[in-house]
Amino acid sequence: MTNEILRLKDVHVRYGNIEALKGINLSINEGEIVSLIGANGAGKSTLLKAIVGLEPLTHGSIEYRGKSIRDGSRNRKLNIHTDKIIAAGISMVPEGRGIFHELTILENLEVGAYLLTDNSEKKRRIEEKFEMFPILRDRRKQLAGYLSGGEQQMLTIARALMSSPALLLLDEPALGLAPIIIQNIFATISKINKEDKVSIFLVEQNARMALEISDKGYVMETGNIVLEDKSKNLLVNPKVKAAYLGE
Amino acid sequence: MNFFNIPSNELLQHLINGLTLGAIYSLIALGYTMVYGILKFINFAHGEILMIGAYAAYYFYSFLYDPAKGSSFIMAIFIAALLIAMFASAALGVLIERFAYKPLRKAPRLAPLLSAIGVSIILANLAALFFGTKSRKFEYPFDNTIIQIGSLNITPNQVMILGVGFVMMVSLKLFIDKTKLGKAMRATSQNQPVASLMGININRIISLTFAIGSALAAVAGVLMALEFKVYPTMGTMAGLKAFIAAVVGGIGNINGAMVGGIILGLLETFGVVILGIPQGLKDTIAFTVLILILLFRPSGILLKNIKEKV
Repeated sequence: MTNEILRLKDVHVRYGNIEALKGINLSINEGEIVSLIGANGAGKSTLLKAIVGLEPLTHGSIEYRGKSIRDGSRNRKLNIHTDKIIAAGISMVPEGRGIFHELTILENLEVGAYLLTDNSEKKRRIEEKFEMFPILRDRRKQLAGYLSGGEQQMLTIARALMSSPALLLLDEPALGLAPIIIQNIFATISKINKEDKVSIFLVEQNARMALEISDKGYVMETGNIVLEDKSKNLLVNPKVKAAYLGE
Repeated sequence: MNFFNIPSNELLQHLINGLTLGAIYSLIALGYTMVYGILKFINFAHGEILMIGAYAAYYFYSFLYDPAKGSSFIMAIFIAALLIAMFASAALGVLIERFAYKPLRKAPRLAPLLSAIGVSIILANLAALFFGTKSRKFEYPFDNTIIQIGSLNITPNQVMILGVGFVMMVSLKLFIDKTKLGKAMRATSQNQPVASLMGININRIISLTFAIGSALAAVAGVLMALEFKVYPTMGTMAGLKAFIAAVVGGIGNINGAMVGGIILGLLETFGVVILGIPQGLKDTIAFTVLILILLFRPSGILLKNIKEKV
């Protein structure tokens, strides 16, 4: 039996009168890449925010390594704060990148390792990220706001890895980038998974790329999971082909 | 040399006076701007936090004050009084945030602003009730006879204000720029949800911001008290002026608050001399500056150039 790193049970999230998530069941195993595809407004970003505690659940529960991190009840023991969730080993590349524009690239990476107290280890991790994305090393003293879109995306991924997470959540890392950069980013994601054994939950509109690098895929429509299968099966599924792969 | 009909020997004198006033405004303005940077609202109780700090220092200091014990003893209790003021104001600032602002964090932006004004009125009135409305003299911890350097008259207290102001601002700048917590503070002010994704405890950063801003206000309060005495509304006008200074520098901008305070101090001092405004109407200068800034440069004189990239 494989080890489950994340499990969502009947997760509901509501914004006023609108139910954004209508009972999501989903699981990610240790070492897997799992992708979630769906159109704009399907609730994908809301789902990620719910996992890291940026949106409260109205019902259901989320477990990380068998322990509750978020819960639909008001029970404080079952609902831990975002900073504690990050400390437990989850990291996230948020929607729209969310770099700190007025911090330098180096400072962005340092803040990424905020919970790390060992300075030599921090240096080592920064060096490792510069190996991964050499462009960031060249521009480390510059304000992050001056980076191009693709470079900002590299920075957010590097920053999310600074905490050496066990589970990395990525919210549309390919959005608005040129095809060659997208390929780069996806190759990096795949590499992080294989070499550093980071489990990955990838939320994407770029369905083909996402399914090609992932083990398992979920398809989401208006707050519900409508399909769930191995990624290679979803790639040949006629419904997925018609709706998401443009064939 | 003759600027605006000011004899050159007086020019330097006004410059020193302006800088001294400006240093006090800067210290107070930092609190407004730091809180605005993180919570996007103006803590209108800031002036009263300053006043409470000044009273804490006053009671401690005047209780132990005894000229017979020698100058080093008096200096020691003065430094202790300054630290007590900083601690008292920091604690008060954190408590006010916890009970008057935090519950309103998700409310419309007008709500915490009104809460701040309410807290400000309550504190000023409680101070009047418990400490009395009489102005109290804060004895100088040293002999404050004017030192003459050529044609320049400078008091030891002015030297202290300039020195303490400089040390406080440099330390704050180093803290914000170089330390881990300083970086976390800047990250939090730029993007709160993403900062929490870095594992930063946002509530702790907000408390820290209030503590530092309030402690700086307390320092300004004690420095002011030496010149202008201690009374329940001492923070009101100083607070307003410092708020204007923060707006001049660009609210939310730390460097801006320091520069804005100095500029306002100089404008007030030179405005009186150049425009011949009577001392009693001196305050009109600051408010005129506020109106002009809001009309022509609402984001302050130090512009930020980085646009969000989508």
